[in-house]
Amino acid sequence: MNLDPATRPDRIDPRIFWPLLVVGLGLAAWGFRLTTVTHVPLHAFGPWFVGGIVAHDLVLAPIVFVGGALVRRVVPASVRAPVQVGLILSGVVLVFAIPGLLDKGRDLGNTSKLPNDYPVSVAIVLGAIWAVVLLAAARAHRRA
Amino acid sequence: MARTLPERLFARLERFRLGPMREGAFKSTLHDERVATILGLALGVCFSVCFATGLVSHLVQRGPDWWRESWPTDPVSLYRITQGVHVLTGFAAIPLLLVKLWAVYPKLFAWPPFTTITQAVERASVALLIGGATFQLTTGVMNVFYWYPWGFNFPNAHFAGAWIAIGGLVTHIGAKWAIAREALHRPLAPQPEQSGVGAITGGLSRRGLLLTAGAGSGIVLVATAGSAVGPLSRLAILAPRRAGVGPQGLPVNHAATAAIIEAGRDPAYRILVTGHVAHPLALSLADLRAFPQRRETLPITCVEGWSTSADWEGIALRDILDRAGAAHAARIEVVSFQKRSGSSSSLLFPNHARDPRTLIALRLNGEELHPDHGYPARLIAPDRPGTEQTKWVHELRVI
Repeated sequence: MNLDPATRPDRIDPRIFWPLLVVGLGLAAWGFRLTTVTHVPLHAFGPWFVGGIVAHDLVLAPIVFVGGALVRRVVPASVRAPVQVGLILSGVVLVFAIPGLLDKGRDLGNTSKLPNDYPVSVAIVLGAIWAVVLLAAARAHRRA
Repeated sequence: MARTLPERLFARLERFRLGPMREGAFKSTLHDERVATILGLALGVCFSVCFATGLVSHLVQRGPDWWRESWPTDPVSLYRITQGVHVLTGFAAIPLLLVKLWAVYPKLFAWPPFTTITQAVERASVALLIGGATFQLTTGVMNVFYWYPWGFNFPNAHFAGAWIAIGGLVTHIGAKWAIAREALHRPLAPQPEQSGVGAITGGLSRRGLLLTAGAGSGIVLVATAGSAVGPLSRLAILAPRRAGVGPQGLPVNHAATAAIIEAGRDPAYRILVTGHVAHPLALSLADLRAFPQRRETLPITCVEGWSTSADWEGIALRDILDRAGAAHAARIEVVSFQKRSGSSSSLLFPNHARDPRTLIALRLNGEELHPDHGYPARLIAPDRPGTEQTKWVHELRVI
């Protein structure tokens, strides 16, 4: 067996991979065992565990890649970098803000929970991001 | 060069190489091993910090007695710091994880899908890491925003998920060790603008992408850190809590119900001191006020990561225990008249029960306790999760 990652097609060092795989699978197996021990039903846990992978790989990522292709076609090269930065940061902020925007945790008897108006907050943050992006784009455009 | 069996197999299946699996389907030069490695290192640090601080929080609440007995009362803000770091580090990891997944997404469609059996095992094991990481971050954020559309107990699932994610991380480090070392040490490949015809020009550079990911974490942190850091409270516009926002300047988790408010105002209200004591006591509010009153500045720290420091006035718990004649080594169960599971009682080990700063508090920030903060009396002890700072105290059971 070839043990040299430099000449293996997978570039994996088996002397590191297999021992750490045993350790890693052991830790993960302990985690799965904990779900049974602590009565976390697999039919509830499983969909949320797999759901993250599916939601990213089949929904979020394709949207981002189609968006990226559009940006390359539509946005002039001179201002592309700041626009990409603005889009990435907006996406990140929007993903993080989903639970606040949906407001499912609102408790009318306890106003210290979710004390912000999240749509307004998101507008403020995105406004600040795009103000900086516009300034950077204007500068980049003048230089080009 | 000799080809492996999987390579020869997939060479015959070339006609199935379609869509994103085609050569050149992903054009950006930012799908780069150096970018992936640097983001991976940052995420490795974040997940290790979250795992360690999460383990601390688990042990403080549900650990073996020897751990809970030795959990210190100093510094009074230790748990406040570990739990604030836990939640904010998880928040900061989200932008890094999104950019990292984008950077390595083409690998999902790599052709051939694997070249060795080792690589086939490695690729399958990535599911543990990505499933674990996305599970921990999505359900973790949703939980602190009080949104639980799932059929499991969150602390149990989050604890189990932590072991799966960290197991996936250890496996991934083993798989990528050689590639990451090479990516960090080899000279940089040409930047997009120098790489000639057909390349994407004018867009973000590798450095720009990494800085953008870092800026994403920075924005999320600035807009949330004020849930735990008082001076930043006004900036916490994306956070589920703001330090200092709530009745008497302190956030509340369980608000008082009408029944609780009524029970608190009952003139027959007493704190009972029961169990292994020489003199069982039934202390009225007047009795409690006749004890020497102490004033302490102590934080309330929720397991959800938010925290606020406040001025508390009340009776040192150990003064009450001494009057009842409880042993110094006794454990104290503090019981609420609130009839609900979870936070309706808590256990104090001797190092907390005997600490002079552990109060049965009657006043908060210069006023009588607000019903939401536990009127007529609540427990407040140094360096303890908020769920164990029992409100509406009704009984001290000496064990």
